[in-house]
Amino acid sequence: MDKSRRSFIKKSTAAVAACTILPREVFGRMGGSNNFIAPSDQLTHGIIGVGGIGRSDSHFYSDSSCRLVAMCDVDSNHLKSAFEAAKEQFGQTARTYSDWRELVHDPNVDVVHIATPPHWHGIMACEAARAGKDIWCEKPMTRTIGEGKRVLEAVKRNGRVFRLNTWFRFKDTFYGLGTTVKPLKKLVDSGLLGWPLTVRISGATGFAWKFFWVGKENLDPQPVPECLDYDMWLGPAPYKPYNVHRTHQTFRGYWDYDGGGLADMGQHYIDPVQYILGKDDTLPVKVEIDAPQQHPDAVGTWRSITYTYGDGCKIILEGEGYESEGKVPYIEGPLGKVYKGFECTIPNVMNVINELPDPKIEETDFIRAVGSRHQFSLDESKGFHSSTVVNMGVCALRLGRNLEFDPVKQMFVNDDAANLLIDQPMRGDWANYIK
Amino acid sequence: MRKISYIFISLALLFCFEGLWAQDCTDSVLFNAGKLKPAGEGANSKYEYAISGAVNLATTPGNEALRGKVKSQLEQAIEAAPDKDIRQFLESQLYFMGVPVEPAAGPSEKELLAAAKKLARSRNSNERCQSIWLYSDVYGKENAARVLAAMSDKDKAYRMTALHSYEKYADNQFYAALTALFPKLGTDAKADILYFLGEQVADSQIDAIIGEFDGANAADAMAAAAKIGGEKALAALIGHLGGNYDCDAYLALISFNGDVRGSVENALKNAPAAAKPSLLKLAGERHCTASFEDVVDLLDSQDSKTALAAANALKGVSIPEDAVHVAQLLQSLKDDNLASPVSDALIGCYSDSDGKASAVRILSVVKDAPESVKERFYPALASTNSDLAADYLLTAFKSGHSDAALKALSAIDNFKAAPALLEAASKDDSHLIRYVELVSRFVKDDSAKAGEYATALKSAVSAKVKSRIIDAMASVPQLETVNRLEALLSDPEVAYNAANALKSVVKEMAGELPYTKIKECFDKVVKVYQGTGNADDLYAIDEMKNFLSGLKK
Repeated sequence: MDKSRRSFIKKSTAAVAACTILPREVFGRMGGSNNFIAPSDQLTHGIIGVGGIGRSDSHFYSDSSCRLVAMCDVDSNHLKSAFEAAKEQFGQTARTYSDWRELVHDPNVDVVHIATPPHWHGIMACEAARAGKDIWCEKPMTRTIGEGKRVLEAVKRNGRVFRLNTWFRFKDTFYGLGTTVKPLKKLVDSGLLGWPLTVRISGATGFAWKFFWVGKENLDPQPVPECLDYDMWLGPAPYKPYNVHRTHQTFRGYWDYDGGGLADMGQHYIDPVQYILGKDDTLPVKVEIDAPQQHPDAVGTWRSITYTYGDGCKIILEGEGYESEGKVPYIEGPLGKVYKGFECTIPNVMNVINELPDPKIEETDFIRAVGSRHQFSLDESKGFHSSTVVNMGVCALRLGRNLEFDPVKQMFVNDDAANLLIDQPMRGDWANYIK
Repeated sequence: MRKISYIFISLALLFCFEGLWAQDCTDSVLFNAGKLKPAGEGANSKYEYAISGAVNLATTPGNEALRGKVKSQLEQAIEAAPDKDIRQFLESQLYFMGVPVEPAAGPSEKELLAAAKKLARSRNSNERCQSIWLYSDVYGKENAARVLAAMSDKDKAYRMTALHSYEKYADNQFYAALTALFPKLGTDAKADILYFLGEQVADSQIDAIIGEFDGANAADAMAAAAKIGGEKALAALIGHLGGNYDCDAYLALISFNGDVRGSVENALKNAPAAAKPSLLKLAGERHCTASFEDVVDLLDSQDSKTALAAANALKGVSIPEDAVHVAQLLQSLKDDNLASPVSDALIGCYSDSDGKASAVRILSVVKDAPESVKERFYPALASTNSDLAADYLLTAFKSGHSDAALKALSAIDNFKAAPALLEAASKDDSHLIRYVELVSRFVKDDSAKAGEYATALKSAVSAKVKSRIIDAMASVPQLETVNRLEALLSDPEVAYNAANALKSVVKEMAGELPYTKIKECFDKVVKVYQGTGNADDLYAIDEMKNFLSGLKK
């Protein structure tokens, strides 16, 4: 904060009164390179969707770095429960909304946390960016490739800071693989494994595709619970009679809202691979599937999905029950292989890796990124690219065929039906929020 | 009777193959659409599969000849749809028969500029950010002056957006123009420019960046220099180790864009004392094995911080051939605080060697070591995982070195440690966690395993330890495991873990257990899951029901 403004505020009570009624954005963001955020500029956040993941530690927190001041849910029971929990856990009385637009335009909210099902992510993120908010968004970043493009543009053009809620590229053991991502990145960058590389994401390498997120066919209509605004829950999704299985946790089993285990876990698993392979700014040129025909509404299972990049690198996803047998490498190149637990065919690999520089410093503290306006490590561009990889697989599954993709034009090649899945129709006026 | 059977069989065959036939034939869309019932009045999925299958077939590139027929049938079906839900489904399929709409032509340059000017006057930060992008759309590389002017703006988001908008046009001339602004700019704006220069790897400005190493923007400048790399940056960063910005210089060097090892090895010989701790840390991190002797010398430093840094670095700079030397160091250390990191270095030296041979070599040093320092070698012995080491440590556990020996026995991957862990569990049940790990790894016979887990359970006191044991029991398909897990369902502290384990074991034993027993167990598990209300558990209940339905009663 520049000293002249602070002393101006202290000197004049009238000025203080005037300052408090002016929008925060007039003064810009605080923080700077020394990372100090003055109490007068403590950040605030609001959460949209407090029934499931919105109650996890990523979103449901309130501390001196960022206070929880607002929450929104279309289920009044969820909203009430979250409101009470915030009071009890943080001593915080948050404003409650049933219409997310009010939260997004609440001048007291600096950061919007989007923790709804994926069919809402694109609309909410675009509107939040245009409202001058920074954004913390659940994965998958968007349900469709087209929405992802629009979020990317909206965030960029409005000068916002965006983070996707996955983190394995910069911290934590990478699921059952038994290692963090950093040594994998260093090893790949070293060139010791050769090129191109194949990465296998499978139960055999430590990753579960959560096939229990399948939808049910022949759903019977049920009465809508009184606590739920079903119309708003659906939002842009097509109207289909209410059945409890369509909503809350189990929405993951329906193409209208998500994409089963592939979409639920895909970005967690694939984003670090894009990073490791140095492909944060590109996309595969082909997606091949081995799967039974998918129901047009209920997500089913699949046997394998293979993505191929222009340089020959591949990412192979193996479905539950269809894993390769025996000892299977996670990364395989012409010169070496890496298995679970970072077992590697390169002799003395850890010594070699230790001699290499760490990957380029990136900002992995979101609050600090908001203050400094630096790109967060997993920003909208990287999030768009890895969610597009996931969505390419979704498109191939829904159409029941292999697809080719142009990473520059960001469209499928010679397949109108696939390109019709890039931007999909939205119910009512919701499409206006994402133009 | 024969005639009736014939009719029945024909109808059954027709019913079974009806969907299959329909899926293969694009002529059947109208037929299948006619079979759709309003939601809740019939099972539509077979027909939905058939219709979407026909649409997928017709929209596959190369099958253009099929499209007209399928499209026409869908349109007819929509007309005849009995309700809006069926119509909505059919329309969703008709959607795929369309052609993607080409994006409309964008606004003219004049319109863009008008919008930019209006947005630039806004008080909203993000609207001003939009304006700079619009100017970028119009002027491209010619927008440099506006971007440079933005550096004087008070709004950080606007400054950063301006720089972001110029990324693809920026060249050395632009970078020079940015750094020329430094004397006029505050700390915040300079931080933004330094970040930009680093991201752009603007090596032409390395001198200007190094010039900021001693001021309020030191951290930003060092981070930028690290991204750019090069000899100048490297020398400057090393030169700032031990100074006011030692921490920032270290962070920059650990991710420096280039090989730092030669410079670190040289600097370790010549640098001032204040710089040594960070240099040692770098040497250890970057496996600067050529610095081994220098690091050893610094173990005797009068400065405790330097001595500790040397000890911590030793592992990173040692190679297997240094094992004997490191063992001697461990024995002769005067400062006990250094023993643990030097022990880690010894472990590192032997990490790729045969366990038994390593144990022999370590024990040859231990046997001549003074009694007061023998314990220093226990971790290294444990790391060999050998029987020889286990026997030695067990003897130590029973004599006057019980605490240190127990710690080592908790780390060794050898089942000989098990009795000591069981004994220690009588005072602290957390030792059972390691005990159970050893059982899982080394006891192959399931019946014996079940017995070992039962022994562990008897000694377990805390819920955390009981839960770990129960988790391990999940992979032991034995009847006694089933019985024990059933009993644990009534313990609220561990009921959930017991339910998970019981489900796994019963599924595994489905071929051996009677149906009634399986159902009985599943019913008990369901009761526990229903209490949680967790969606994953509700799915697990579905999974068990499906499993049961597939079994013969």
